[in-house]
Amino acid sequence: MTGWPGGHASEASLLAVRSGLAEPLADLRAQTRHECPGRTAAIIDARIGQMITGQGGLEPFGELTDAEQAVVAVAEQFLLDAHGVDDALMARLTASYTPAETIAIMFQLAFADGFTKLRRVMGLPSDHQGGDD
Amino acid sequence: MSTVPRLPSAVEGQPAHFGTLLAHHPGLAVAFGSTYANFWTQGVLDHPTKETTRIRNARITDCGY
Repeated sequence: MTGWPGGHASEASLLAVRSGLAEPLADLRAQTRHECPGRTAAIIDARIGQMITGQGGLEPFGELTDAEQAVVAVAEQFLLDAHGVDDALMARLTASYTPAETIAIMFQLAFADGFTKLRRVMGLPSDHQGGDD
Repeated sequence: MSTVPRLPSAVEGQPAHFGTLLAHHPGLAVAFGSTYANFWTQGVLDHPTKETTRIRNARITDCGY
């Protein structure tokens, strides 16, 4: 893929065009990541990134807990077709995580899905520190 | 897509919707509100174009907003 037609070679430089938006967005993404319990943010980034880019994966995380496996299952269905994230799948998530944790996880999923696709479409490398993939 | 909220409202006496679910996480709610407000009120893209993309996205994803 070629680079962003505006000449931006990275997500950071692209977002810097809208500095007023980039700052609150970066704060929201950082807060979301921080509020995700345990390793879930990193696991989400790794799995979503793997599914979209074909790179990386979950091997570095070793054996996943049942709760982490539920996060992966929701992440995979969320990416493929959010309509398929059904009551049973969400019940697996909410059985292990509080409502506040579940919201943070779902926000992380949305960011990972959206920004990984954005980078892919724009031909941008992953350069977001603490990134979404 | 489920039409039954899968998390309880965080606001007593209020039904579960995006705002009352986000209230479980006040910090994220504030940060999201700030980001969303900036997105809609600033930038070079005209409002009709933003709204058109929002509506199209909502239709495809069965979003009620």
